[in-house]
Amino acid sequence: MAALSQVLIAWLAALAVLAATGCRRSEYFGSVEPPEGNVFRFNVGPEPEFLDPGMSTGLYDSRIEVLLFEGLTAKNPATLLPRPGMAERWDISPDGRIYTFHLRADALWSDGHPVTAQDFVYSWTRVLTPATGARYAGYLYPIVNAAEFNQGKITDPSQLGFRALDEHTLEVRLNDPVPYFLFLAGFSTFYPVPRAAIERYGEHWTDPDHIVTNGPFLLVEHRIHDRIVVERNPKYWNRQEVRTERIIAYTVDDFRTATNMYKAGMVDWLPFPSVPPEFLPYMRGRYKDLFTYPQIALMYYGLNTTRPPLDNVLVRRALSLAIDRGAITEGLLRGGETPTDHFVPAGFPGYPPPPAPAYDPEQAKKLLAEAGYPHGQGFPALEIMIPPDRRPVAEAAQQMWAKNLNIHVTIQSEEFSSWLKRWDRVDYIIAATRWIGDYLDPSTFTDLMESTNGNNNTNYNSPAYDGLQAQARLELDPVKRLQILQRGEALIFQDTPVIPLYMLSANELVKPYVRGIHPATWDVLPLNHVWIDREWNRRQSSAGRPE
Amino acid sequence: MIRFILKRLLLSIPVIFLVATTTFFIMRLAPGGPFLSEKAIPPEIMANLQAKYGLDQPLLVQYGRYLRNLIQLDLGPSYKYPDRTVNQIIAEGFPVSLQLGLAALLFALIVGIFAGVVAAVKHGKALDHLAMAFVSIGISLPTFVIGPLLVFAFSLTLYWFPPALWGSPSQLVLPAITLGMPYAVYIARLTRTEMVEVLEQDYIRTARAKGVSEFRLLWKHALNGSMLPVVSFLGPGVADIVTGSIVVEKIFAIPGLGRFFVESAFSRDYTTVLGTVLFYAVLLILANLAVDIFYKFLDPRIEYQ
Repeated sequence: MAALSQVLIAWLAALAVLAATGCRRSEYFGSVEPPEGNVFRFNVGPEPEFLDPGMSTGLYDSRIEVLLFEGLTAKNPATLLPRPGMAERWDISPDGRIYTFHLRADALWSDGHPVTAQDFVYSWTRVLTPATGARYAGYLYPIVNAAEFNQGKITDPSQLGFRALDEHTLEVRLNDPVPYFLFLAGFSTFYPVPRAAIERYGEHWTDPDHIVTNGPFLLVEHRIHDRIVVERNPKYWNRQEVRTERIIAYTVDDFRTATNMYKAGMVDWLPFPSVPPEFLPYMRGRYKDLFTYPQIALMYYGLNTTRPPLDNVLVRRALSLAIDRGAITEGLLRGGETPTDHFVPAGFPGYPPPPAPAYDPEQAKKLLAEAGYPHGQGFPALEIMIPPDRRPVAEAAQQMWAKNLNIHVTIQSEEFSSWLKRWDRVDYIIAATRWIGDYLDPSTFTDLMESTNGNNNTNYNSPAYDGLQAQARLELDPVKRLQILQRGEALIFQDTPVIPLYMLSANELVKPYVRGIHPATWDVLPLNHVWIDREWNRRQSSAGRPE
Repeated sequence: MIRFILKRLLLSIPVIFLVATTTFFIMRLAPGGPFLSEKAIPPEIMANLQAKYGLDQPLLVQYGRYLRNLIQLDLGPSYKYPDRTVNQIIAEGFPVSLQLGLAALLFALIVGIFAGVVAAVKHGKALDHLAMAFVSIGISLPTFVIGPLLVFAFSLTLYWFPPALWGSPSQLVLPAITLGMPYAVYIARLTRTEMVEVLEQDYIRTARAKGVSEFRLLWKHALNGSMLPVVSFLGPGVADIVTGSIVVEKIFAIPGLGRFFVESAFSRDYTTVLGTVLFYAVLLILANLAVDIFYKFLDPRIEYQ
């Protein structure tokens, strides 16, 4: 019934959009009345699981944590490149393995205590302590002995590769010269957390009455499945930059409802993925407050490379070549997705994408014949395993494979948890999945196909590929390093353990009076720059999101 | 009477135990677990998590520990929102669902009884047909159609009521109507059928002959006599309306308990599933008991052994 109801609600809501556009032509979707007072309202998406950054599990958690906390580095709100945060500067050793962070003297917790190097030692040790059960502890594994400690192979925290040289100096030793470590240092898992509050209140330290934070905003209210309210932190070192007094972050998980709220003027910003894709064909080109940005996020099919007939590389390549990505994004999805033959999405600074094989049904037929299945004869029945809501693309693939290769593929839709379980165990033949990059470096994708990576899930095990990855890890020259990763991606095309389909796009609605939300390839944004322009109508020319 | 209540309460203990046990084991049969996520968790970290929540223990040990906590009314921490206990989630969410349910019930009773009485009095006339047309539409339109239609009309076109969220009386109107509509039409139908019959009864004719005003006759004498089926519907109805607000809570983004009931099952949040299922089970048992007691007052002929 849930699925049926969703379909019906979707249609009715889409109808509402259509009807509304029909009767009142406006350049903007719904109300353009700014909120009263110095307040900014947006929809987070589903309720965050954790406000505790050490325990953070992803996008929705991070969206709130970035308001409440700040790491050694912070993201520049405009470019998202790392800039000084709690650390005002840092030194990197010539071999790229030792980072020395110098904390600013005016970095304070909201209870007035200074943020010290010891706070970071405590917080990172906490994340790595096995009993904490931090799911993203793996982000700290570039640090010396972090993996060993987290996995219980060593138990002495003094062996961990970070230490406080004094109250304001933190030294971090890495296993390899990780070129994106400054990005990582600004990630939720690396934020400092308040030791005294945690020791006193346990799991409940993130209640508004107990929480102590160090970021641009303070938590004042948290009602589950409803809203999280934050207010400007007067003790934040960079408070001059923060222009909004109060932010209300709603946690409405039904995106059609969230869109209704936007239309009625109850929220000012609907970030990804709060705009339902089925509305987009109607909205695009009609409203100036809809913005679309490609994300460093890939939809792809994982192929089980050890199960016949997909253990044959020719079959895998044939399947990939027989899919017309453009037809899927332009003809079917129409949500601003970018078709791609690449595994590493576009948008990583300095990364030269290798030439990728394009849609070629003739070549696909030839490869399949070479593999022993001319015209699809004798080809066993395959199954695409999909989580809910991915059926249309799977049906398109099904038809393309039937038409181009004359093979029969069935679709098996699994409830999300069951899908995860089977994906995790590589208990499938073809699986629809996706990956959202974590930082602006191609390794957030190329790492996936390493044989030891827990997210590989295709049984792809190529010593040549693993070798290139290891080589890239040790390469100090950033240009050469990216070239090695590029050779790795070329190897993925050759071996085809995955079929890349398209890059996801972030579709967002931003009221024309909102300033300081910048286009982004990735959607955990600091909101330090945000403000409400009450004069927006008089300066129409500058209306809209980019600033 | 006291003995009857005590006996019923005592009998409900094995029922609750059975519900707890069945839910516990069915939940564990479902594939996946509370900590699976799209980004794989290394096996070592998964082991740490399992150990933290005691999920690495044999199932029977977990079951025993769960029952022990249950006796102390401790439903444990939510696996999905670990900074909350299930007790907290229920304490925060249930009052919201209850308010929504009561508002919906009030709407259902007023509209339903009024429409039913009007239809019965104008039996076979235009007003009757109109009321019954309303009933047919109300019964055939599910909440997930009524809700968005109301939002479209009253929030996004007329701007009378907010389309979502919870807190102000104006935010109560649309969800209460949406949730109450199916009950209103059901009550209207029950009232009409019963009322038509009651109006033919001798005591009504006698009252009329004695010169009782038509208004008093209708709204006191006849209505009292027609309320028994409505009351018996209300027992499960109240429990149903309070627990059945899942779809409405989602459409209107209301932070009630209903959504936990469904979402926790999808996210394999074992403790929350168990906690909400048990809570609703107890609620149903109590609502049914309340109806049985209420019967007694409405119709003194009913005997309890």
